[in-house]
Amino acid sequence: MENKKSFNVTFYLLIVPVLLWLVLLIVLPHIDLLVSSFKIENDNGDMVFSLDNYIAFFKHKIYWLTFVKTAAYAIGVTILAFVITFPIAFYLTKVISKKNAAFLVLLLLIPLWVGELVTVYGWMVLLGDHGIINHFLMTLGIIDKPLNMLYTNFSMIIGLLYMSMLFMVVPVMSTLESLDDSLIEAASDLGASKWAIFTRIIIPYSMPGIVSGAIIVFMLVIGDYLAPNILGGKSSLWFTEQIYNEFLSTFNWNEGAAFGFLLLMLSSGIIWLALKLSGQKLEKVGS
Amino acid sequence: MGNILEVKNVSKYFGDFTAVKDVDFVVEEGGFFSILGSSGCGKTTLLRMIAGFLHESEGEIIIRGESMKGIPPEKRPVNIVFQTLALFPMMNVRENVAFGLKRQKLDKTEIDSRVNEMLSRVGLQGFEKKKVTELSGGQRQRVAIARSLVMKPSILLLDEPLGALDRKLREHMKVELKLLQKEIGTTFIYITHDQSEALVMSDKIAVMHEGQFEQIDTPRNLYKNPKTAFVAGFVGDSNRFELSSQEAESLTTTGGWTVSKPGIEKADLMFIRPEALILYPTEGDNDFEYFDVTIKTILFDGSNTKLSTIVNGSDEELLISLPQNAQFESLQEGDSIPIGIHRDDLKCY
Amino acid sequence: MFMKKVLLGAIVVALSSSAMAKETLKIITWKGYAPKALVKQFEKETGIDVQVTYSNNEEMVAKLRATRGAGFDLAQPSQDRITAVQKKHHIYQPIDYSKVNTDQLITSMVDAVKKNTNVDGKGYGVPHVYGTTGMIVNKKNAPDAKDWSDLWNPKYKGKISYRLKRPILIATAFGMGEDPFALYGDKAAYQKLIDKVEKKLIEAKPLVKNYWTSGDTQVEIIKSGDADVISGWDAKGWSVHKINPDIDFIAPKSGALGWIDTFAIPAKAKNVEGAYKWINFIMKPKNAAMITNASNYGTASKDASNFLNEDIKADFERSFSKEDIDNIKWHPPVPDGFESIEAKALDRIKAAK
Repeated sequence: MENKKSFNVTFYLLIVPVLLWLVLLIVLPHIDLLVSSFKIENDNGDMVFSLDNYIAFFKHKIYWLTFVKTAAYAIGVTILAFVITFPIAFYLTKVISKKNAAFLVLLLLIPLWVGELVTVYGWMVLLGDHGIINHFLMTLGIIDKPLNMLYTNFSMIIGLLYMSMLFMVVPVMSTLESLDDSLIEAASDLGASKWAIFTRIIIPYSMPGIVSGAIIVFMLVIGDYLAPNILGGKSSLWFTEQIYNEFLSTFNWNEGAAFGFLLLMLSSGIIWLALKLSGQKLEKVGS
Repeated sequence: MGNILEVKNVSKYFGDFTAVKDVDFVVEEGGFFSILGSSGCGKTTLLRMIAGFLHESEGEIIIRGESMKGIPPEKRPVNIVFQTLALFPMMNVRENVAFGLKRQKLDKTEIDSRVNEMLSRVGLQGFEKKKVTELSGGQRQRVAIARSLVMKPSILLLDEPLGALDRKLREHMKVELKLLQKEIGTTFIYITHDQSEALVMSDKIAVMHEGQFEQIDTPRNLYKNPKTAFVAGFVGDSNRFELSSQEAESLTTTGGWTVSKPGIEKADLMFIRPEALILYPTEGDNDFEYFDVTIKTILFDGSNTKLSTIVNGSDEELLISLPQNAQFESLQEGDSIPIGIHRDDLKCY
Repeated sequence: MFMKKVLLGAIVVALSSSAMAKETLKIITWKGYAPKALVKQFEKETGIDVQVTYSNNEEMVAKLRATRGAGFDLAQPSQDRITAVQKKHHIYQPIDYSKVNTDQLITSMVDAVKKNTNVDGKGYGVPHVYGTTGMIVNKKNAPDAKDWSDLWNPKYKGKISYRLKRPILIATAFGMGEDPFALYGDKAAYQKLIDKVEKKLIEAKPLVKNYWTSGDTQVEIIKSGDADVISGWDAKGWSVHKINPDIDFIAPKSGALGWIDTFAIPAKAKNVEGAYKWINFIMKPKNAAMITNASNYGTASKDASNFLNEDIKADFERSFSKEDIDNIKWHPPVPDGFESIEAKALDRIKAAK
């Protein structure tokens, strides 16, 4: 009995700071933001309860269209991230030795070490009109006028992919690692072509990893600010930028709070829909 | 019936290591052929070459008269049941069994009827919609076999498929598998390290040792007349003796036990099956060797009870099967009893 | 409300316990306004521990608004951005001009800032540095770019850049021959003007290479050659000029936009005395000159010119004729609600094809 009691005390001592941190710095500010998202200033300058902040989102084309555009790009980047990283994950888990794979994964981690801002500036140096790639191509005589790569959707997508790709690789790798090679052999033995093995066995088997990777990538991309803002060019109004503007340019915090919650709810809705359509369950993905 | 499989002088090298060395055999159509050997003997390598997952370094594999050189696994008329079963965990029972047929682009009604027929044959009707992860070990086994058999292969290769089952279930599946093979008539090539599985099920057994075949024979012959010392020691229980000297017709073991065996050539080892020894024999037969032993302990194991004895006048231990009838119930440790054995059952190599 | 108090309480307890040991001065300011050398010197002279946070106008207001004017002892907003926020959110406290050593400041600037930051008869700002927003031009590639209107001149298609924030709206209005500052008293007329500006900038969008977003990206885009005609800050233009003499800051013909950054004291500042000490220290001619020499920003310190480097003066004289100086459009205080009009226009411009 004595033992159990002291365990309880230690347990609570350990859990209290975590709970305090969660409640004071995450839950309470969110509730405060949620409350303020339902308030507007009336003509007398008083704050009153209203749904206007949310209605404004649907009423003004510029707001919802920006969200739709942002979400569409995020979905596109997620698909691209999958297409690009799946062969990499497959190569790392099924083709080369564990030791080499560990080293290569470490290389993949480098962009995370240096931080997004640095990599974004790195891409500026690479992709600019007078950047390294254009310089190289022009010196070789492949092109005679610089390619317009920086400040376009192309450079924005590159930047978004670069910062989010790894979050697709890791969960996909972990499911592929558990894929028994004899499953592939069995399929081949039953007359499946390489393509059929890929689409019927490998992809369905790694689906939980792909889905959890896709959720992380989608959330990271839709919530990103730096890459669209710096690499994205003159028309790349990202929804996060809209939120930023509401807080910092317009000083309309209530509208900004409403946008924040709309981003959270709508992107969660998209994920829910995607899970439904792909027949995956969240609890399976998490495990 | 003709030969469905011919393996001609096949060898497989991995660098300096020889996994399979100059193996040469044929399998008759409709037979149950086992390859028996301990782990690392090369039997799985041989099986994977037949399935097409590995390419032979030398020699040739011929199925139904056709050389399999350069033919990939998905094009060979063989199917394999893996040691791990390799069921597709994201599919249900029906989808697993239908997988191969769907790859052949057969029409739906034919797929359905063949899958249904196969599932009822292995006793899995009603389990179509179950996830394979929800099945018991024996049921998973049957799904794996059904998945391969539904393809109507010329040969079904089985790579120790009973290895993961518990003992009771393994005993049961042995019988079931044998009956299934008899019923559908497909040629089975079965790989195992468990001699009891091989003996019970097979029409023919090849004993494999260090990449080579020691003997190919029926289970009975393999047991009765092992051709090599390895087979004698590996298949069934045996008393094993090293011989120290050999004069004319008499052999002496290192433990100082002398027996006579006419017409014997140079030999180093002698094997005696425990059940070949007869207690209280009727003396006087010239083909028999008679001697006395002293009982050290009685190893009671139901129908498999044995006596551990010392041959009188020597240091040699000898295990003797004890027939289960009341006649021998009075035997006690320390008793000295007469024993007889037919000289043909003294196997010397 | 209750939750906010709990939250603030927790933060204040956490912060104050660490701050007990030594007198501290917390400053939120722009990069370059509180150089390390001066911070060290100030700490040595007064024994006050100085903590500097770098920011910009928008974030400064946002941070102070979140804490209702707490967390910092001194802020440095632009003079035109004080009154509207102060009227609504009360995040600053009035300046006690008797505590400021105004003798070392340019009197006309002190008076102008006092007037422009006036709320209910009290002044809220002391001038610190000033500068202008004009154009940075690559004179080799665009020798004829002289005015704001060149930011939508098809001749420079694909070589134009500016920041999509309120100064470009003001600049465009001046470039179109309007005077936006004259309409600060008339919200409806201002809205109409901004609509016109919005239309112009959307029309001109295909000409733009990209919108720069910070002092660093502004320098990067002209230095790399990605753009030849951009809006920019005088100090940044002069710093690029030192690297590439083809590039220089010019005062647009219809008038550069003048800004003055101030010292303002947050409403719940804990070390008000320290803040005044810092203001008087930083505005000493020698110290003020040090900041100007490093950053190229003009200073409100009266006698700092005695300590300025020659090239600083040269930079200024190269870019500004007597006429240009007289033509500088100093930002008047922005009326409440105007920034919201502008922000909506900016969003629409950004989103336009």
